[in-house]
Amino acid sequence: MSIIVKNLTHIYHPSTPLETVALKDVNLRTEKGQWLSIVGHTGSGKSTLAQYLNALLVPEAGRGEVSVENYLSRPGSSQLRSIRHTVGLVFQYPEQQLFAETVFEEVAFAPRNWGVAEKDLEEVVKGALREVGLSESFLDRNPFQLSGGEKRRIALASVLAANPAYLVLDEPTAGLDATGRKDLVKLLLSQKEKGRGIVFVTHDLEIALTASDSILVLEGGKEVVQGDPEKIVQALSQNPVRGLCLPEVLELAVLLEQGGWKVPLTWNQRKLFQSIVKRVRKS
Amino acid sequence: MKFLNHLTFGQFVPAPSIIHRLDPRCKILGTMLLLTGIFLIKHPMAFGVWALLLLVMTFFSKLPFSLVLRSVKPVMILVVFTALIHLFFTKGTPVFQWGIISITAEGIRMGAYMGLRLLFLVLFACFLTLTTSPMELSDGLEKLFSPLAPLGFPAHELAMMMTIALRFIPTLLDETDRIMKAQLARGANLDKGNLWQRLRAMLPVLVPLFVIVFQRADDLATAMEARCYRGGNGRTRFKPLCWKMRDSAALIVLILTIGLLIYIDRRVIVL
Repeated sequence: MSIIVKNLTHIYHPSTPLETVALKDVNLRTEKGQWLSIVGHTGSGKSTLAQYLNALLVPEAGRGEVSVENYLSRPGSSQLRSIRHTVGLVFQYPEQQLFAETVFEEVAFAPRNWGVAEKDLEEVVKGALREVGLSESFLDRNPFQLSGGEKRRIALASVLAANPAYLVLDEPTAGLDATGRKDLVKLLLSQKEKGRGIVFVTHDLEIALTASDSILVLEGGKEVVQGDPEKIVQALSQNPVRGLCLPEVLELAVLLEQGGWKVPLTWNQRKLFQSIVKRVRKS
Repeated sequence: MKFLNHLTFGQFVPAPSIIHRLDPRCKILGTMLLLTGIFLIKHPMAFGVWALLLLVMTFFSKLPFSLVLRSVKPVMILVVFTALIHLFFTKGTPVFQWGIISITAEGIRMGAYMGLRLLFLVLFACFLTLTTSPMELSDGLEKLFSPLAPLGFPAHELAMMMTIALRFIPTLLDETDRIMKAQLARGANLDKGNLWQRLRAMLPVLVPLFVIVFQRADDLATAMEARCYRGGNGRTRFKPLCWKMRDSAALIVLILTIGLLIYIDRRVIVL
């Protein structure tokens, strides 16, 4: 039971002058209860990849294979809707997809589409709102009159309400302040604890390193490196990828190491601080 | 499954060619001439000449011919429809009769004739937009209409509106694509049910799209005001249009060709 992508290639506008290869031979695998981050610069193909995980894009013949929980993503397959039901996709700036007159109608949209009975809807919607930390008092409000942060929570709740096994998020932290980012990561970690698989698409390496079980780094549609955070740190501190900034603490650790200090390559300021203190005390 | 992924009707495809570099006014006037020619010349041989002209122009534009042909796909239905209407509803000597349906010799001629005419109209118009960027196109139109400005004709305003509209077509298509995908990901059924159900199903796409359009319009107005936009008076250009020898040459060649064709056409008809 997992999401598996094999040798996936995607070409936009094939055989026209505007042809661009967005993905080239990409492989990945992730399970429920795991956090996978897909990290890359603008134009690295990460958003395109995210759409494949939700069967919004379907691999053409000879361009690779995508399967979700034994559903194979194939053009024209009747299983595409099952894949979309299993995988919830949160787009960048999800608050832009709001359309309903009340928060209730907005959040009830997805579960209603997936066939949740009308009498259970209220419970489902309230549950989803609770998960994103909003109270029931929001139910009758107009989503267009809420603040930006609240709108994004509503949008997230509207995806969670369908109770997807996986949650794919495309740049969910875009436009959030530092606190908003932290809150979102905390929320997603608790979703992971509940057994959902998280696929987190971002250019923010720090969040990816802190929260992920595994990371896939893309550049120009190709895999640069894939593995657990330790492996990514090793690889990226030796061969930096253009447009991907290492966390500042990690950069400092790399500098110290190059200067002959034996410190661990960590992005955790506390860990780095302690090892420096230890060394200073020793000498 | 990218929903709105095809090359859009009227898309500009850049290429380093002499046709692309021609002054937009020359290309607009040239297209007008060709369209008039298509309307005025009645002899069926003319279609061969139009095809030849299109081939030569495509060769000089360095675009693949298939691309030019593909650009008419969206209006093909209209072409076929027009041809069929003429095929079935032209009165004359019947060659084929089945119940109330009768096909006349005149009908076949008119059908083929109108279909081809419309096809070439669209092909030449598409060729113009394929080789001329929207920016140049509206600059050219503004310049062409500017003599009418003292008479109160809003040449600059119309050109600006056209530029903005053209500029936002791809952006709005992208937005629509994104919103449709977002709603599909939430389980929306956009293509099932009867007409009423389908219209209702489009609501989750249309409402966010309208919100985005108004926001964009607002942002654009603010940005224009912040840069002191106040209409066309005294506005200079980053790339002023410049009529060169080659533009005159191209236009003269076209005028002569089409003039000659009209002359021959009239003579042939008279004979």
